[in-house]
Amino acid sequence: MAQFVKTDSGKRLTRLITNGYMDNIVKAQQGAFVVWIAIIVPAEIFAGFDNVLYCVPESHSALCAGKGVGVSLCEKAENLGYSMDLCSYARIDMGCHFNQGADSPAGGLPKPDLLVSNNNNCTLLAKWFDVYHREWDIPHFILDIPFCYESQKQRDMEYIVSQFQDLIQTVEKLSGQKFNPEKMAQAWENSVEANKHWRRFLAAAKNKPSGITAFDSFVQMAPTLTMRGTPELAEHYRFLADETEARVEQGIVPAPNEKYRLLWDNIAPWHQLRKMSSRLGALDANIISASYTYCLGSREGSLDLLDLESLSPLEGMARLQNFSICPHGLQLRGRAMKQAIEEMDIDGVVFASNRSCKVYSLMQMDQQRYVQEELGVPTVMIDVDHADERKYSEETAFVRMEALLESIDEARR
Amino acid sequence: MNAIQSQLKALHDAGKPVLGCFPLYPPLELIHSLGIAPAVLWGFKPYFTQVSLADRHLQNYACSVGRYLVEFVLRDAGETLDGLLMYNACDTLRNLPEIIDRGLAKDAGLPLHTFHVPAVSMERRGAREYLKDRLDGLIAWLEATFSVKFDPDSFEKSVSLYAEMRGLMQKVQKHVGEGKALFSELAELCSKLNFMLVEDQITALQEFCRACEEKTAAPTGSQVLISGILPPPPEILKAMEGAGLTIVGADLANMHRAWAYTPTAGNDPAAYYADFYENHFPCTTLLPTADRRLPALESMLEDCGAGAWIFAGEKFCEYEYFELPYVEKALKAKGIGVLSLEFSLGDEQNLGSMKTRIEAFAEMIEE
Repeated sequence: MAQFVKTDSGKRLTRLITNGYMDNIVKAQQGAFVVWIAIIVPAEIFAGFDNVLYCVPESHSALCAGKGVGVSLCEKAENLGYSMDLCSYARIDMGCHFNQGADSPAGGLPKPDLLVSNNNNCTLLAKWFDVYHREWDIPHFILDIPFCYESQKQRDMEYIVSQFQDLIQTVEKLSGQKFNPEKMAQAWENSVEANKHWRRFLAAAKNKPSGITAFDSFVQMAPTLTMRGTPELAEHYRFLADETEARVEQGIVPAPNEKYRLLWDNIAPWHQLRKMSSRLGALDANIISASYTYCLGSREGSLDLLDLESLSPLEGMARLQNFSICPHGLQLRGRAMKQAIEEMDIDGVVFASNRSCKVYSLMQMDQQRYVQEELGVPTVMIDVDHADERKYSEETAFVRMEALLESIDEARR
Repeated sequence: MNAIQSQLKALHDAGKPVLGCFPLYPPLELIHSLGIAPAVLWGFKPYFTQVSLADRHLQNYACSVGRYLVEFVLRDAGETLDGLLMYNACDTLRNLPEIIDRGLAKDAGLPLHTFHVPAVSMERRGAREYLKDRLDGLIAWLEATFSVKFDPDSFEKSVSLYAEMRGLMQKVQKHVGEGKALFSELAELCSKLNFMLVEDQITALQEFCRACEEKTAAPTGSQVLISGILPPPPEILKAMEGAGLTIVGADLANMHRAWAYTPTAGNDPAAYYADFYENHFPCTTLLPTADRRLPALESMLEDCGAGAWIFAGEKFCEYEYFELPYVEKALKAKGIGVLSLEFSLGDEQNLGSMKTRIEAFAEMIEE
């Protein structure tokens, strides 16, 4: 099994993320207005203010799970009466912040002055944030974003933009700070630029063998959530894309003996990233792509970049309210997956049935049937939980994944 | 054909197309006003012992409401339903339209419409206008699908009928609270009403009221309020009554939450439903009502004279379970006895232990 060596962009990422969490704590102590947001909330809006910072509890929970404290934090929330059936991100977050940031590898998040959720990724985020709204008596602004069975319609975009305008007024009122649309516009340009380089990085998966693993993309996705709109994000993704392209040119790839090119459908199993990647590598299998990451910035139902040129920043952000896979219906997900399978020459698909994410998982049985029966691509479904390791069995998962590899071999005969 | 299908077939035989509506609170008055029979697709538990068709499409960590809904629609295969309507009630339900579409055989496909009800206060900029747009789209779809025409006067008449039904429901609930009928009897009635036209619901409720008015019983035993999405199974309700608990109030989504509020009458669906969703009795699935939930529960406990609260949890319903610790804590602080139960598919294996807990709870609050 190859020894894991961090790339320069991996080291850079660690510094960025660590500094980001520390900076937030310091700035909050110095009086910054703190907003907790769900991942799809347009963070660029807050860049339009001089002293507003945002934190992303979901991303923090993923970090906790990745660092091995997910289970203990879940248990803390369960001891407070929260059901084990609730999303593990939420349980980790509540377990941490109702215990003054205990066990957080990042020192916890500074307490918010405002909570902003949206409901198209999942409505549960609004219920989760409502817990803090009640316990800490903090205002909670919900962005109401229609679910997409087809591409977002103009009317939906207008409705969303009107809510962004309300959000801006809310932040102005609560923070006492004046909104500067030019600063927000600059942040938006940074995000658009960052996304272009992100796509360059993901495109390395088309190489044979793939220049990346999906696990790289899971980890490198973090700053999109926590640093969106910053020039540092754009610069980091440019660095990441350049380094990845250079490595591919030099033949430095994560799975040189790549025999099986796999696609992962669902959120990353944060507590298993390195283990799963290594164990698959030993089988000459590489999960090269994931629906969780290839949808960022894409048109619904496609891997193609959204054309945002003709849109104002607020319109562009409204359009990108669908940047995750969860707001998409079955047909849209199927079309995007078909394109991913074809463009990246995928041999097999791993459907990770995730107990903590119904919005991602409940369509998977039909999606699996579509991929297996209509596209003729071998698939497997394994049981996971993205952040609660108690709901994952490595041996059971690998028995199934090894069976997938055998199916792929069989299909090749 | 099960009992529900028989009821729905009777509607067909009476010349009514039947629109299967996903729970929880679809715009029934509007559908009815167009001469279509709405049927809210829940309450199927007594009719299915397994959900083998749904299991091909949904993992077992989907709630039983979703799984039974899919099972019913796939089994029915268009025999009694003429269309389906879904609004964004919850994350599970929003996933189901396309899943059902895939599950139905090509020759049994059902017309299906999805529409988005703003999940924010109607006072929010753009919310009312957006709702109006969605309702206009729904009306256009209903007109085209069922060859009907919207008429404001008919809508106003349907509004009036549903107002009458809600008034009767509240009266019936009061009778139950006074001990003139058992809650289990009301729950059984409600499960049948769900698949009737509102005119027949009114007749059935009037009969129930008349029967209650002939009685003079007072509530006996410890008085409890029950909360949840759907009532517990009949065996559990009987166990509660057998343990000396009298359910005097039902904060249940298919009962009190659905009928507690009657919007201002009118002939404009946009105005009516803006009022309907904005001022709806608080439900965990209606995000803008969240802040009103605990005060409404506390008020209900006081109005019913209940000294204890039973949470009938629908397993995997995160909407209910995110709020549970907060509500439990607040009620316990007021000295209200609290019992949390959980229900899902396969309950029959747990009934014994549940009955024991109910008996222990009854003893505890009696002391």
